[in-house]
Amino acid sequence: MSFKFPTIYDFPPFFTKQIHSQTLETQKSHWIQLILDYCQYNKIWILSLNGESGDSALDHVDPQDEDDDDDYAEVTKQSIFTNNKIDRSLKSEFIMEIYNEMISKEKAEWVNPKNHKHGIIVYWHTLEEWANIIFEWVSASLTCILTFRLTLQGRATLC
Amino acid sequence: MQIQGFSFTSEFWEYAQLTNGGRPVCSSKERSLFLTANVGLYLGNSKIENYQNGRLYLTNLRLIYVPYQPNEALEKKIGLSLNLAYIENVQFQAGFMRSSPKILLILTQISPDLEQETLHKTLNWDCPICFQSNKCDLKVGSRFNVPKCEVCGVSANVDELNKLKVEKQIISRSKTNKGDTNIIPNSVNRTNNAANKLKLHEGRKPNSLKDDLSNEISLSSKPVFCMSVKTDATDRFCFKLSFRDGGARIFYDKLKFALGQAKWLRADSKLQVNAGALRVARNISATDADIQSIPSNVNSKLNFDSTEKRAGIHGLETLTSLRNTEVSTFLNSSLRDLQNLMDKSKDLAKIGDDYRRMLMSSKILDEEVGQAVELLSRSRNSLKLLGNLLNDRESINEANDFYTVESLNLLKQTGGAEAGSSLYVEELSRQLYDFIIEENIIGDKNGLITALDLYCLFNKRKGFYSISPRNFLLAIISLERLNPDLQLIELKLQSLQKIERGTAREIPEKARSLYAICSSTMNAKSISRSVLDVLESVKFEGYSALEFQGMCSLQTNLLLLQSVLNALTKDGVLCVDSTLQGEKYYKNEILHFEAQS
Repeated sequence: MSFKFPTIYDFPPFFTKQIHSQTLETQKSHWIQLILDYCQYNKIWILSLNGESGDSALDHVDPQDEDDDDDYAEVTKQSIFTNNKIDRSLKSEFIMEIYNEMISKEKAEWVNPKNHKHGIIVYWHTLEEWANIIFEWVSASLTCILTFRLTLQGRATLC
Repeated sequence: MQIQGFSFTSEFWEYAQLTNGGRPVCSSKERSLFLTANVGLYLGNSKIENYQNGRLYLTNLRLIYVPYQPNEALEKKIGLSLNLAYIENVQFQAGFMRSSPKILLILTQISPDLEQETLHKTLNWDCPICFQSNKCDLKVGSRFNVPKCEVCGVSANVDELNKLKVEKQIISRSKTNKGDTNIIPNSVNRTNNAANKLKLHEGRKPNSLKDDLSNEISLSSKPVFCMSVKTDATDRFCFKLSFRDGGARIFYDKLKFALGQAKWLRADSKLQVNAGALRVARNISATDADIQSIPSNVNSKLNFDSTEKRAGIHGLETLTSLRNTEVSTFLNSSLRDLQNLMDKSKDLAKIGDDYRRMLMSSKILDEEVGQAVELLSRSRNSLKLLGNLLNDRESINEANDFYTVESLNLLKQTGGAEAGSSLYVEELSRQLYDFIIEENIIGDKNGLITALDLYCLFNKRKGFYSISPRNFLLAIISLERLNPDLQLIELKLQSLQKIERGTAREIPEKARSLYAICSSTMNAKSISRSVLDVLESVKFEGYSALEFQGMCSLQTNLLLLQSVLNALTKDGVLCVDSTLQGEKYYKNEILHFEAQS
């Protein structure tokens, strides 16, 4: 079962940056919520500049490259920011604005603050929430000592 | 305290019709020469109370005084005119201390030779030989100066003339007895009955007369002048124009020139100059001579020795043959025009058939299309040519425009002072308003025209003389004063894309608004309501400005509609979807969605 997008996702003006300030704020908050829900549903931790998920979008990015001269990335059809049904996609400038808004609200963080091409880490739970979740899980179910690696790769991982 | 007032009517001054813009309506022979504002009228040395502030237009035939009206749009527009033929002499009186410069108009005490007056003074008699209807002066019919027939040259019978003269005098007396006693009945008796010219109505207040004026003005009546002091009978021929905003000297020069011109025109019309010269155009239609279409080749063909008047049977024959030739030339020309018209209509019918066949067979043959297009283009050019020939009224208008432009230009040159320049703008505004009304511009342009379009149209009409954009803008701002049905609006046409702070520094701020003139019934609120009604009926669907315009309820000007849509978007009522195909407007569901979530 795939992710069910909200009805606003099929509304064409949702993909155009609105000029009315209140509408724009609401539009950005809708987008942030949509990204969080989408990433949570699909277990996506890192989102590229063009809205693609995972490591595939970052294959072409040199991890050693620290130059950040251009934040432009072409939005593809697989991106969350493209709605093929109504043939609309967000402009990269607006995507950057949404990302910055997410970071300011501590819903995301640059993978590499010096190079935005690496994308963002999406916190569909905040770090505090994660800490609480891990603590509860450890308190409830941990009977033996586990390394960090084993915790991540174990059967009963959190994510 | 009530001021005891006097009022009088003068036969010299008449009411003059004004255009919607408050400018005098000129006949086809009349040309506007000059204009000045804030002029007061005096009778002798006494102020005429109800005409102390007004604009004074000078044309080649009349002086027209338009009293100042605080609310021109509501008040009845009517002015006073004084025929230049009545002015015998003019004197310039320079200003001194607090006294403004004045021009003294000394009016004639002898009956001026105006057209309507010559009707009373002339006598019609028929030639006993050729039955030609001739005119002669009432004074001429003496034994020593017997008038002769204009056509055959035979002298009139003096006894018959005397009989006709007596009959005419009886008829004219009976007419004057029936007429208004306040107005001079017969111009012939003017010098003898000078006291009748000026009827003083004592005891009436100027204000009450003003009210009478605004309520009961008809162009056939005479204007009433209100005064605070009683004037001498000798002052009735002396009117003064007081120029409170200056410009008296220039006006004086212009008036002198106009008087000279008017004198020449009168003499010319009475055949006192160029006597015997053949006037082809006038013989065709005396009433509307300059509107007649005269082919250019007519004059060259009519190369007769007819500039001299010939008497006797031979002269009669020559003139008859001349007229026959003249008439046949015109007939030929008319028939040629008709033939051309018929040819063109045949061409058009052929094109219509071609298109019909093309549409019926739904096969487009390039060759046929090419021929049809060629035929169409030829027909268009020919029709244009024919239209130009037939539409001589345009050339008259152009001539009028030339003179109005000339007077405007003069105003601009003399208007170095602030008062002068404001008069220039005001007069420009009046001309502009007349132009809008005459050409039905607002109606033709879906109720709205941008200032830029109007500027281009106006300048095109005025020909070589161009109005500066700044003056034009000032003129259209004051249009509302002349007619509250017109309004100047500012259309916000800025792009919907927000300029970022960083880039805004680099790109200089540009004016992205556009001025437009539209009827006051075109209301942005009503358009907004219609737009919202349309969007209420559909959900998640939007329309472009053009699609909105195509809807029955929103058939309005696209620019205004676009402006309203932009305003609604900026206010958050609508939201926009920008694509490469253009912008579509939707009801703002983004805000509503927040409420649902």
